[in-house]
Amino acid sequence: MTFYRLPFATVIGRNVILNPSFELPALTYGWEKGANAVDFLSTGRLDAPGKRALMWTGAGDSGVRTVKITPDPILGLSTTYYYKFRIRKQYNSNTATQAQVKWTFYGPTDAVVGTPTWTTVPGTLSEAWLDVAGTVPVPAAVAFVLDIRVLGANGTGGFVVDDVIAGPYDVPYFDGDTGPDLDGEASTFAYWALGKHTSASVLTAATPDDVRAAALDVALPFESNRETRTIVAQLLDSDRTRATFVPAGLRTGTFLAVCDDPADATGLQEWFTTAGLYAHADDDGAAHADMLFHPARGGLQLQQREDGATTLAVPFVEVRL
Amino acid sequence: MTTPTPQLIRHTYAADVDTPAGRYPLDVSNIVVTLSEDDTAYVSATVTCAWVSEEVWALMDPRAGHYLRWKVDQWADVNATQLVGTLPGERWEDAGEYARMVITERDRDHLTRTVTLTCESRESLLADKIRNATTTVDTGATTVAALVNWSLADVFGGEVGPTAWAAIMASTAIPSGDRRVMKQGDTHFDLIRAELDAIAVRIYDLFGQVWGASLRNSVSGRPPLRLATHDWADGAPADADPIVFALTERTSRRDWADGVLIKYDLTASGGSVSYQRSGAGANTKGRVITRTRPAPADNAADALVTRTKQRGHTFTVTARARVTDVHTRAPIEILTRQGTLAGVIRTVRWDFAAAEMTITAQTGTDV
Repeated sequence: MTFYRLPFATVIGRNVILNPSFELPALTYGWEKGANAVDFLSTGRLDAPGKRALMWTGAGDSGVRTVKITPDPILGLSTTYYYKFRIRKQYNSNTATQAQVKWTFYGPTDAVVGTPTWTTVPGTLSEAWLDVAGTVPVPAAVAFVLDIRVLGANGTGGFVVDDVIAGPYDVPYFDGDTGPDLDGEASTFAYWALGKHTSASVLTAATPDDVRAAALDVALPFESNRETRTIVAQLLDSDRTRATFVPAGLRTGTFLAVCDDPADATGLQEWFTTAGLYAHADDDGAAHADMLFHPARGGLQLQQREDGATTLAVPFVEVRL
Repeated sequence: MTTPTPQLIRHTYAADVDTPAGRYPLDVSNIVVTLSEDDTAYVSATVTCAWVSEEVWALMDPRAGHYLRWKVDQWADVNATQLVGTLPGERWEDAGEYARMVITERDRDHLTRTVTLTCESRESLLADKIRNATTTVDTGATTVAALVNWSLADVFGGEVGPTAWAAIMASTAIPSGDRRVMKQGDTHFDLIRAELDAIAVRIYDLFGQVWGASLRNSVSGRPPLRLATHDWADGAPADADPIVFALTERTSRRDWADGVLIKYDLTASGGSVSYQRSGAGANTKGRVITRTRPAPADNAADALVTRTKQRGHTFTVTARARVTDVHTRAPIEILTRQGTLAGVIRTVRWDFAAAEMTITAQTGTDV
């Protein structure tokens, strides 16, 4: 369980691609697989930020593999969006000479928008990432389809894709290898921070030093609640109703952090009193609790237990940018 | 014709502070709108919004003369794609446009970090503007319509009412003399009220979009708004909207009078005192009203007493918010399984956070 804090004023927006770095080990949050050859790389097999990436494999001219991404929220029809992702050859055992990738964008009527073109990924990319970037054609709104084909008559192996971002921001994109990152040096550029590997992806102008992680010794399950706000009126003389739809609120609830050292819990309690936008990001199995949040009005209750552990309850209200 | 609203609706809101330097959008958490046939400001609204910067707060100063704009859209689906209606609504010429109203009060709560703006339609500015100069000014108006237009032009910089309202007001000619002269201490409201009262006319600023006028005792010629307490499946007619969830009735002696005496007291400006009284006969509950303007030609006391006598008992309907076909002076029918309660709408209050509206209506000629 890791918490991050960003000065609220520096937050620009969020990535409309959820699970953009595939740290949630399934094609969830708007990702759909179109061919069986799409798979995940697991820990240690790739020199990639985070622990996982999306992988295409094939042998020879293996045909087109497809994955479909539904952005959240659906893009505004009159706003220009930019996309970026990275691709490289799979580490080791890859003899494919090259690959090609193509974005196809779909508009509100499910018609293809723009003219999709293939980008060639040279097979020499065994050590470095190739950044693929561009402008989403207007009015693409409802879906992106990413196609990839592995080329080379005698080659086998795969290519991996990671760090998919899209948003109405055309800004430099840095990763852990080539520029400032969570633990990198300060930068005056906007960059995708902390959410790069999580579904709580935000774009911020903060310098990396403004992002702090508070690693906890133990994490307990958290509880969350979403208030449904639709108003249902009972007719005066009838058993029937009339409903006024009001969108549900975002998650509220409590994170419960458990620390072995009471000083850690006290420090964390102090840390959460600073104004800012917080994020919970986790790649150890609590990813369902990934979110941006504010510590809500209430109490940061610290409790020293008989078994020696110290718990800190952090009331939260989820934030959506 | 009544158009029933669908079983599920959704509202979306917009509001901003309108200044010559630009418009500053607000994060709205509630809009409460009231229409009142009997209040000087026909429309009043309370807009609650999230905390604003000090700059925007300064622009909200009611003394700064800026306006608040707001609008509410009602949709028939959760994704807000099928528009049912808007407020300001179809009755007004620029449906879908924003209401533009005078900010009369601003409040903010530093603890809960909320800002509440109270605003009114622009008739209230007529009551605000007073003649300070010692000299009188002759408006030159020979009809009531011309007199009202003169006031509007003076207060709002050249603005005049629609030509149509000359047909409502012009029948009464105003001779030269006191009745068309504005004296020291008169407000524009004073100037036009006595003349409008006498011919039972009121003027409206309809959401800051257009000026209107109507005969106060008249009932809109539109088909009645039909609201039902039960569903179509329970036998409510197809043209009735089954959205009523509370219905109460009241009869009051309080604002009712069967005799009115109006005292026109001009002694302060060197004139005399004259009276108008409503028709002869024994009165059981009388009322005396004093005005500092000259008496109009028609008997304003008669007009007043006619209006109060017309009012029978009042009923109050609470129903799910509906923005189409709901306005004052419109006939309304509440269909219960026992029968129909018919009246004329006097006030409407929408509370969009609660998604409900409260209508008060008065039954017709029940004295």
